[in-house]
Amino acid sequence: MTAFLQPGFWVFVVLMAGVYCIFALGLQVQYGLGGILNFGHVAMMALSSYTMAILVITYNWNLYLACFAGVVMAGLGGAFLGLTTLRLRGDYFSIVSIAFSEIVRYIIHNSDHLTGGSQGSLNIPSSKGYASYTEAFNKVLMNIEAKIKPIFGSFASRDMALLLIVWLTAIILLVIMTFIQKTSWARVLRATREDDDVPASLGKNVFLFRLSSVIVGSVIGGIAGIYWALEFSILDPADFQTIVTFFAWMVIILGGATKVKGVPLGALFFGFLYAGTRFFQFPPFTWFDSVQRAYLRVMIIGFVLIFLMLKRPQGIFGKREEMVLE
Amino acid sequence: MDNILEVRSVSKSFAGVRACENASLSIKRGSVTSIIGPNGAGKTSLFNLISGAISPDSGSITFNGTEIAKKHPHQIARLGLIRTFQGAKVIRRLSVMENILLAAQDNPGDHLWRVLTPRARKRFENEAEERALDLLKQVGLESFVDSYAGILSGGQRKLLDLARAMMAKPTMLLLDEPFAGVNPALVEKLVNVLQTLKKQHDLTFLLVEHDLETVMNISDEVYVMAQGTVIANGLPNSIYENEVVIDAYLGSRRKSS
Repeated sequence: MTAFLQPGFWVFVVLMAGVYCIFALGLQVQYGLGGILNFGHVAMMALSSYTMAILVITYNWNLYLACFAGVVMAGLGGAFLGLTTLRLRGDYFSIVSIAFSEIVRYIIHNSDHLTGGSQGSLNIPSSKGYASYTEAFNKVLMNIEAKIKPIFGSFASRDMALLLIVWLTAIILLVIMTFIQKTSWARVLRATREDDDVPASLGKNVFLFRLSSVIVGSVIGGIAGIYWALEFSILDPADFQTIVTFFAWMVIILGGATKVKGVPLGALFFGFLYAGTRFFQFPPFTWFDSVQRAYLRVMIIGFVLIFLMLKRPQGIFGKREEMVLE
Repeated sequence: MDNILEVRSVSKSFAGVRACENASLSIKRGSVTSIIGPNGAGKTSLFNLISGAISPDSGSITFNGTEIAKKHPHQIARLGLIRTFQGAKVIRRLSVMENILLAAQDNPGDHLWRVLTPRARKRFENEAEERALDLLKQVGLESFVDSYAGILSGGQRKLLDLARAMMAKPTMLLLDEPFAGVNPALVEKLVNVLQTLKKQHDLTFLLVEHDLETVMNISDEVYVMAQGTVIANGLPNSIYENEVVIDAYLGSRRKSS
């Protein structure tokens, strides 16, 4: 029960909600606009974070350049996924996208000399003898921490500093996406969600629209990966299992898939739900041991989702007409 | 009058089934041409071949002097050859206005990087909206501007489909069964709209249609297809008297009367 009362824990929850917000925003571009069911989104997080870590640790790159390269790598991953498989029909693309993310994870898991393999980023070859990619960034966070101390008092911490950066990024991305949603690019994508033939018959290259939305979504997913890496300071291939993609799916389903503003709300809701269920330390939950309880948490989230789907299928903010209209 | 569309001995088969065999058409610029024929005659397949939805096994198709047989649908559309679909496909979950705006050509907002030039986008969008509203007024759908297209009736969808096709500023329109399942009063309205648009924009029409009366009324030339190939063509009146056509399509009902 102690963690429940500590501010640091809740700062962590909100920070991770911010990371999930960015991560899910990448899916929102693909699914909310184009109806593309990407179940391999976590691969973009793995690609960006590992690219960044390897460039910093093995090749001594400047951290920011390495972050940029990581995000570019995620975009390239999206382009590769899209170019090879977007011509498949909707549900086939979903299956291949899961396979793609698992392939990426297994390659990372098995490339000991490049990625550190199963031991994670601590095992990435380094000339300095130790493998850390957060040194430069920690200094920045410490500076911010010192500056926010007068405002946030006991809440000021490394996590709080990162929380501010993450949510600032999230808000900037949300604003950009809100603008993008008003363009005719988004309109064509929303049309392709329902039908390919009509936009094609009106002169739109449907494939290019889909591909660009997958790339944009992957870049955003890549940004989330960078923050993930900076928060945890170590990377492990097991962090990037398919379940993480579905966390993002929960976020956009909770928030309402067709609206950008639903994403941060869904992310916070999911963050609190996921963390909050940790504190079910009263019967009947205490009848289960901690491992069982961990699964119970996911089941409870599942029940909340089912309830929400029955009562409010459009999510908190979604447009009901766009979801249920026949 | 020169020919705007030339289809020369086009063939296409699907897993051994011949959808089109040696089909040829010549469409005169500014004319209304109709294709009639029994179900399964290959009319829609021919439409799909012309619009690029499927590519022919052999033969050539030229539009305005450009070979289009191997081009993609969106490339053909950009040349000014716009098609509609059987049963009027509207995007149900977009508003009526959004449906029409989809058809605006060369929209700078279609390029993602143009999010950086909001003013150019806005200017184009405003002009497009104005033109779209004019078209909606012309087909009598102006009161539905912001409604989802999914709530429109079958007849209204046909009108929207037509207005959307016009938004693309076509030089030639391919209409797949524009009058099917439409009540007589609306057929009349559709015909009126088509004829006004034709005059205003110097359009060429190619129709697939079963409503013989309307076909005979509005067409300059009629092609008759059966079993994937063109079996006759000519002026509407001559088609009624053609023995081959009577056997293949019109049936004995016509013969006895």
